[in-house]
Amino acid sequence: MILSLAWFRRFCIVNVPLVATGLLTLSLLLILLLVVAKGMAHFSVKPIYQVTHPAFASTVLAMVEQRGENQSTLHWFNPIDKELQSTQIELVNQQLERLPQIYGLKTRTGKILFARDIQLGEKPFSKAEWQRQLDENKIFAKQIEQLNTKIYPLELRFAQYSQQSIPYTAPVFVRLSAELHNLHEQKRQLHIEQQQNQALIQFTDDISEVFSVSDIALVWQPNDMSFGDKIWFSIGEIWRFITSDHNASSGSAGIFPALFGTILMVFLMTVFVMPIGVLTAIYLHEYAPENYLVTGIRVIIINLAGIPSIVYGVFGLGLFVMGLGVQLDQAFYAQNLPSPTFGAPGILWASITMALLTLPTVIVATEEGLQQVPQALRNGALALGATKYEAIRFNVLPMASPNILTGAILSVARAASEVAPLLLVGAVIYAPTLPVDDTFPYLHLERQFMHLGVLIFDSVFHSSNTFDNQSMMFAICLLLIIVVLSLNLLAAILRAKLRQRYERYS
Amino acid sequence: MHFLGFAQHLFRFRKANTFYFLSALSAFVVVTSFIILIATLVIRSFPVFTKPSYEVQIEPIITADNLHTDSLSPSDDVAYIPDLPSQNERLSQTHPSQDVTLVYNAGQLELFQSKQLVATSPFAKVTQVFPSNIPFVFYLVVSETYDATQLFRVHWQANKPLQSLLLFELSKEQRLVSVIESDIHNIVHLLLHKDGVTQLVMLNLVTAEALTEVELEGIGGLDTAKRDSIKLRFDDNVITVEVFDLEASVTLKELFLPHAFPGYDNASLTWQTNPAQDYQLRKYNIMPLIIGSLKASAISLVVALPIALGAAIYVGFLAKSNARTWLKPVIEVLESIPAVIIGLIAATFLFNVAVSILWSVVTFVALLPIYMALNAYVYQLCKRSKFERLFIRFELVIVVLSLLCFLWLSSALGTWLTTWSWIQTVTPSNQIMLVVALGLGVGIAPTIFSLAEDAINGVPKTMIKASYALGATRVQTLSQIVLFTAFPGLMAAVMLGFGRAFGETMIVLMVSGNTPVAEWDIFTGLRALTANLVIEMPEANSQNSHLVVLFLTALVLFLFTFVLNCSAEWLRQRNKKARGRLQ
Amino acid sequence: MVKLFKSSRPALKKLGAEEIAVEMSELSVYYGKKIVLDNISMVIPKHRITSLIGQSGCGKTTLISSMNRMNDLNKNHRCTGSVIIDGQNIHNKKVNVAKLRTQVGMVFQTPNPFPMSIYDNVAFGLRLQKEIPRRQLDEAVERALKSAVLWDEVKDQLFASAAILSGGQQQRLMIARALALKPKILLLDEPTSALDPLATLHIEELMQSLKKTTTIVMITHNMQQAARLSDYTAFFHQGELVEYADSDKLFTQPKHKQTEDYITGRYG
Repeated sequence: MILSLAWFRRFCIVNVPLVATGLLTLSLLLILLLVVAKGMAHFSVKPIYQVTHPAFASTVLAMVEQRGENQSTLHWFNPIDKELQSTQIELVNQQLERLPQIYGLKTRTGKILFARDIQLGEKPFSKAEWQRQLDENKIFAKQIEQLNTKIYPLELRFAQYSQQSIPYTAPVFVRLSAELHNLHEQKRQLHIEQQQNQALIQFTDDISEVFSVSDIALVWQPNDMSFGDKIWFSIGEIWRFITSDHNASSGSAGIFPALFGTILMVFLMTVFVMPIGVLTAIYLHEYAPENYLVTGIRVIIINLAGIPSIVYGVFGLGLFVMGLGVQLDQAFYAQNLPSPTFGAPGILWASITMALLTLPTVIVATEEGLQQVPQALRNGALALGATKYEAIRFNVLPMASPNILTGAILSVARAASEVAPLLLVGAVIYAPTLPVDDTFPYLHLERQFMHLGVLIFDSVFHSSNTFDNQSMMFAICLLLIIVVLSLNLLAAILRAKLRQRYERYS
Repeated sequence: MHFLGFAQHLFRFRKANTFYFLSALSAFVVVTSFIILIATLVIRSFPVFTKPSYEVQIEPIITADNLHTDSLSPSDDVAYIPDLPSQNERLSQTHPSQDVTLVYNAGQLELFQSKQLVATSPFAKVTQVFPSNIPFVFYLVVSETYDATQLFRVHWQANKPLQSLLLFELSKEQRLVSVIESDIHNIVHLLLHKDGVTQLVMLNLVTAEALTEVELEGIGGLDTAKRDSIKLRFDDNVITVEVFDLEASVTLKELFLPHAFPGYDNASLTWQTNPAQDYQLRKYNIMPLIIGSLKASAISLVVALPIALGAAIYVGFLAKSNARTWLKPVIEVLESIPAVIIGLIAATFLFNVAVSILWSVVTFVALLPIYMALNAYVYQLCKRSKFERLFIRFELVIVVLSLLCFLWLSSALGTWLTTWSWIQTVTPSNQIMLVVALGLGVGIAPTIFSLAEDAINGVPKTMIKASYALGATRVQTLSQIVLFTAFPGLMAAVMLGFGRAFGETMIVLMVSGNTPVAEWDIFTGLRALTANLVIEMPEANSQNSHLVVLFLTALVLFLFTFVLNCSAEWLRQRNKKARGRLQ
Repeated sequence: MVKLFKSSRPALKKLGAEEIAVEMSELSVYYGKKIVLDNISMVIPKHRITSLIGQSGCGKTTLISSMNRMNDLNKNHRCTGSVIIDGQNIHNKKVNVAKLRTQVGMVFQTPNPFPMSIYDNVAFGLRLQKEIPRRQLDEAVERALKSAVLWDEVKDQLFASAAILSGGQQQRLMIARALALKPKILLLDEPTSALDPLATLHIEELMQSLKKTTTIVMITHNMQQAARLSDYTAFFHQGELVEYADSDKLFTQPKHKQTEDYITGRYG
């Protein structure tokens, strides 16, 4: 065994970089793992225990979050306030009991309740019965709706007659009143029948409350689910997460507006950035002469790539929101002043700012693609009498299109993950409406929007200890990471495939 | 064959020309956007370099109509012309709304609140006392000698002695008549009489610089004062002096030099734009922010540089080619983890474990030689056994696994160490910097890695082969040839990494304590330039200088990264040229 | 000098205006400061095969590139003198370069098929000119492929990718592609240097048949090919036209010693 110092030194010099590589990869992978684990935990089915502890007068129903050896965070249901509360507590395993018949409920307003028992009318709870009552309620609701559409014009006419001072004894009036009375009576009947579909929810031995079945959005029995049930429930949770609205007041909510806002902004940004980026790259590579001006343009593009993203946000604020937006308001929306329309942060300004931010990415990716097209191809087209434009359009661009696509993908990934500039030019933590709705002009470019990254940012500052908020934060992170990483992975794969393809042609 | 120009009108050729024009236009748009970006920042921060101005308008006198409308808050009436008292008289002035009276009697200043004495302070030769429209603030005219007359601003803070600030030197002929302080700007207007002429002077309260002044014929007194106009009543007319560009009242000195602020004991560099008390001035010194950003970037480099450069050397030079083909893309994909998420993890997760990480790192570094020795031993063992081929192929995986074990070991040791009491005394109590270093370091490491790896990999293969052919070992080639040739590229990578850390917003924002402190000590808190923009810009007051100063900070950010980028790019070009010539 | 034979071809000096395809007078081409072609004056006869021979780098490619203005693509290109085709100097600013290139076609040394089908490759030039109905396009493609003696081999796989063809077939495809536009002049840069003898034979037969309708200018390194194939041969040396005469004459009785040294292989 030769272990000379010189050999050891050489060994170290070769292997310390190896260790460094390992550290780098590991730290990044660790972050990834953490987000995935905690994010998935948000969708998993957590059991509800019955907790006996000296801190509480009687047993409470609660979910438990392990923090340390004996320390846990207890999210327990207060039956008096009908609210979930959280405390830090020291728990021993014996104090927890897993009863199969504990229910978790989520109301339509997003409140979460734990209950010991549920009675549907006279019968005990069963999924089928609950579903049946829900469906029945839906039918009732529809019927009520239909009645309402009939009632409304009649009431209008009623008001008209009263205005025209037609005596109440006139036959038209009497008929109208009778009809209205009839419809109202039907409505009342339906309401009563609807109310009959009720659930009696037993929180503790003495506290119970009656809820209308239609007020309850979701019921589950976490301690009684099979593995398959749990998977199915988790999938359901993921679906609800993505499609439901963010309810700022209640705890658990969905991220649909944020997802929508992000996608819409990214789409608008692509509309702005792709034409300009691709055309500029074509100009620089195909048309531009070799002089100082063109070198200057390249230097400018490199500098644009290095500007911190927040400076773009400040620029967007200074030029678009405070400058252009105010001018637009004075010219076209003076009737709304002093309430600003375009003179305030909005999705339009955000898209333009992000377009400028990701412009260098697109230009560099496109130029890379153009460079890979062999010159012989261009010459061949030109020698056949093609104009330069035709040569580019029919020969060069098709070959470079995967690279252009790579540029688009990378710019989209960047826009989805940059938060700082958006905080200044249009993204908010809670937007009451989506930028797209069904009033003309359908796409409201002056509205503010929600963004996944902004939600994550906000959750750090306003994180509460309610069990849903903490893990929802990571669920949003998980979604964002999935989107961004898969986009970048796609771009990397495209690039690798292209290298192979071009080796065939040169 | 006809191929002269008449065919140019054909649609094909018009299309070709249009396309050329459009692509040139796009390039032009890109350039213009860049210029507009700089211009916007410069224009919006330009008021820092200019000064406010007075503009005079003369109106004929109208009797009861031009009365006091909304004057400077919070007080209602600042119209008075005090008489000039004689030297030894007992002077007193009462602040109109607060029932606070300042009395100068026999060399002592006494402050009464609701007729109770609350503070006293010796002062020399006060000749005039003016209450300000800002609560608890008074202005004193002090005459040491006949020639030297000075104006002091005095404010009272509960349970503290009276503090004073020298503002202005009055000349022999000048008499101070009125004082109007602004509630949202750091300025005060002084109305002076001098030789039959009325002067209005605007002073910056922080730096005591005179910003602008105007002179009017005749002796006039103050009628009303609003934020943007001051009405003076002369014998036969009323003159309105309009004040423009008040946001330009902030000056460069105010931004960069330390000043003694009311409420603070010493002159300091402070950034505090929304002071709690009315008598306090808004503090626009941006040095704490710059120092904060520099601190954060520097400590993050301490974490990022070793792992990024080490990894670059491995992947760019030492690794086998098939390891390189998938390792580089993996790290580059991991580079795209959004900064928000790194910030989130750092803010929520790292704080709990920061101290144990610190000591784990210390044990890691301390035990590293032993670890390497162990590795060497195992390596020697394997070389002689039949596992050699297996070992070489999976070298990276084996190293990662052993690294994991070693990390776990050192973290366990580190955590165990933290239970020692003397370790706890040595541990800095403020873990923020540690978390910032780790979070920001891991955030910028992949960027530095990509650039450094490009530089190292770009060393011409022919050069390396020639080095081997001359009998150099891998290590010698690495240190003598590769690092030497790639050095400008590596420098550029480090600079760009520093620039990236300087401009990084989210991680610093979510992790740091966000207290703007102008100290180089790395164990106090920090607020970075970038984080400050996110925090303050959405609610910045556009009426005073706040917004202007924020734009200036953005401009500073831009210039800093611009200079760094240009130098780094120049270095990279030189590197390329050098390599080209050597090839 | 005793005329040892009589050639069936007209002597170069005695060509009438209607028998000249290209006339170059005092053409000099510079790349930056470097002179590539020095004061070339020559005429290319119509409907004949003219070949250009000489060492590598003596400017032959530059010369033919001057005839269809492909030289413009090179950086720092500058030229003086005139190249007159059909009575017009093609270096005139008003000349429509794209149109010129449809009349003066070019085939490069290595085949560079477009990443499209065989059909699309051949139809490329035609499609650019104007909207041609599909039937006419089919006929034009067939005609071009037949002229290039490729039709029989590819008529069943017209829509397969051009990359499947062998080297010789690809080169013929390049010729077909150029021929589809029915150019008056066809410029070929070492068309058979990368091909095997059988393919070379095909191409040579092709040249012979083409020359009835098209003027052919060809660069070649193969002395025998130039001797048997071309009507007129020009020998270049370092950018200068050394000798230009009827091929039979040049190869049997070269006037200049340089020419003789070159064709006998004493150098180059």
